[in-house]
Amino acid sequence: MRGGYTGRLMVVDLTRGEASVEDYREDFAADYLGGFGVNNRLFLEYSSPGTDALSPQNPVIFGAGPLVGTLVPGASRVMANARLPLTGAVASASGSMGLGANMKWSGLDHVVLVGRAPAPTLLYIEDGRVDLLPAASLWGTGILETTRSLRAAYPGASVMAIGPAGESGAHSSLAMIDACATLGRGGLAAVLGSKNLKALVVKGGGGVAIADPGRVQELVKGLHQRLENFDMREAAAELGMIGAWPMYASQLLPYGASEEDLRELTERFGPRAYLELKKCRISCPSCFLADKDELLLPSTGESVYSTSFLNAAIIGCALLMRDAEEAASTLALLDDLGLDFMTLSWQAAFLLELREHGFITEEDAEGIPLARGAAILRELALRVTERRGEIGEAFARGWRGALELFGEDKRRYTMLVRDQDCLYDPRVSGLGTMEFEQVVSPRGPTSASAGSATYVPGLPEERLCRLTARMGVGEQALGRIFSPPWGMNVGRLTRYSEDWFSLFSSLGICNRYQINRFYHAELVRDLYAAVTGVELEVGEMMDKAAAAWGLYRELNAREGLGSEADVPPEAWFDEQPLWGRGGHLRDYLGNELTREDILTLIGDYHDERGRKHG
Amino acid sequence: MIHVSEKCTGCLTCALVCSLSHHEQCSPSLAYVRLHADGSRWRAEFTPDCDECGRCARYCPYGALEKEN
Repeated sequence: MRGGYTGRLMVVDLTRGEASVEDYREDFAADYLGGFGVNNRLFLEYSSPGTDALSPQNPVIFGAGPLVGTLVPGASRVMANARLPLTGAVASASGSMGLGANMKWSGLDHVVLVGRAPAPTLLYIEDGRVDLLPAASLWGTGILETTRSLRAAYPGASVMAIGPAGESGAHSSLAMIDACATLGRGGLAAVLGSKNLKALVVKGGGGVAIADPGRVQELVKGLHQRLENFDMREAAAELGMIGAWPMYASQLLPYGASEEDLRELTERFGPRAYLELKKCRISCPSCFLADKDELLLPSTGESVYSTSFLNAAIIGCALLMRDAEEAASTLALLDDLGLDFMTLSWQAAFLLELREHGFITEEDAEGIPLARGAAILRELALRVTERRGEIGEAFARGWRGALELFGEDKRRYTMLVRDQDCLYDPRVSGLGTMEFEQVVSPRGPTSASAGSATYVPGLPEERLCRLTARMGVGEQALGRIFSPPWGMNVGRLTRYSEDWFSLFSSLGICNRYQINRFYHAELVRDLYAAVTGVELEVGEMMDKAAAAWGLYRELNAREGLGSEADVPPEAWFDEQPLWGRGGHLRDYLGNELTREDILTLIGDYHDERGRKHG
Repeated sequence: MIHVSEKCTGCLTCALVCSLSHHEQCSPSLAYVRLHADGSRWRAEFTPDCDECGRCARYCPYGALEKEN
């Protein structure tokens, strides 16, 4: 292999305490590009269908694409494949910070974990060598302390750790990388906990070979110049994602909220509130728009990390927390325990809905405070982590556990697809690709996998079409997407949004809007060629990205999660408020949509997925 | 070279472009500028091999490096 790839993977058998480094097949990278795509191919190789998520036979596969560890801006993604307990789906989770780059600098494109260690273990990799070390003293420790102590022991290394929630097998657990990037909503930490793996520490002292160094520098310089002309650059540099507060604020408001409510929430959780807590911004390797934070909580003097202050604002607005500090400290608690703040927030909201509709009382809640605020989320997080009480034990088994406890007929009081909570309510934001993809995503709703121009509210059809063309979508497909009766067919567009994500995740570039807005398909092709020396046509490259996504769907189809699982949540068709929200289901351009329309769009999505790019 | 630690986010772009231009690979270990975590801040150190070509400053997206006149 030429530049970008190391061509090597490490297989660690935790049961035997053995590891080996081997070359992987070159055709895997040729067919599926790397990262996400090759992870899927390796998962096919190392897994058997029907394996329980928490069984030692469930492999966990990490992968970093050919651009990771290079100068290419935002190329720091690491992907982790495993079957997850929340849904039973095979997920390819996406994370960031320094793990992927250190894998590459350590001479590895992929790391495959199999088996189960006999006791709590720390896996340390440095430049392709491996140590399995006892970690009993870290078991039970929060992620922040674990990360700080391991960074002190291994300066310059990247640390992926699980918290107490992963150790106890909570299905809503996730891992954290360098204490400020999440990895694997849906229970990746529970899978790692079942393997007795507390942390993976990787330190790379080598480098990534580059086929054409001059061309890479020239292309990156062009990207930096585009960044300099970005009108929101200053706000983004100063404020990170919260710099785009006006865009997010309208989506965070409860249904029917007034201008006064908006002013109030902006004061509590908007940019000014952020600046009062901000200590410093933290960037992933090569990223030109840092979005992680170190925050200082004034009332305790405690310093915490944040995946993004926007996440604190999300839970703050949703549960009407007192102020930004309360929201940031609650988010920090969940991160430290290793819990997905989105699933936990929805579970808290579910309890509130049940109370509001008279299905439960304060007494039934076993002392969990049934009122909006930080207390319900904090208490629920602790009980789920400790599997304490009937509710704690049931909710630790995810939505299946919650519905077993309160009855399947209560499904209407939350918003689930494939037993995973939706992140976006199309009745609030309109049915763009991110909202629609929640229904067709093989692993269930996630935040990342279908970004497109519909992320930005209110763009006219002509601009949407132009921005979609930048994603390598050919003329004929554009004709099918931007067509009557809706003006934009979100089902067809979603196929290409997923392929765009697949491309970025296979190569290792961050697919956040703030990063990918600077990229277009020709530029990605040129960067890939300059780094690896492999020249591809755009159509060829996009077909490989589509093949990687097709394999992802296939891995889930063999687990019984094929297109029959693409079922929209009932709440989409119910105008009654849910968690303070409600209204008619509409598409991005404002057309009202019926249940029939959604079924048509799902059919169109599958029709489009059956086609080649062009 | 001057490093303004208040502006630095630890993205390593400086080290990546330095190693790329001098060693044709991206490797912070080979770079002539080294970033070290120092509490919440980053501290930059320049090795004796640094020829002050200024690429690290030109590519830094946060304006955290300046070339001395």
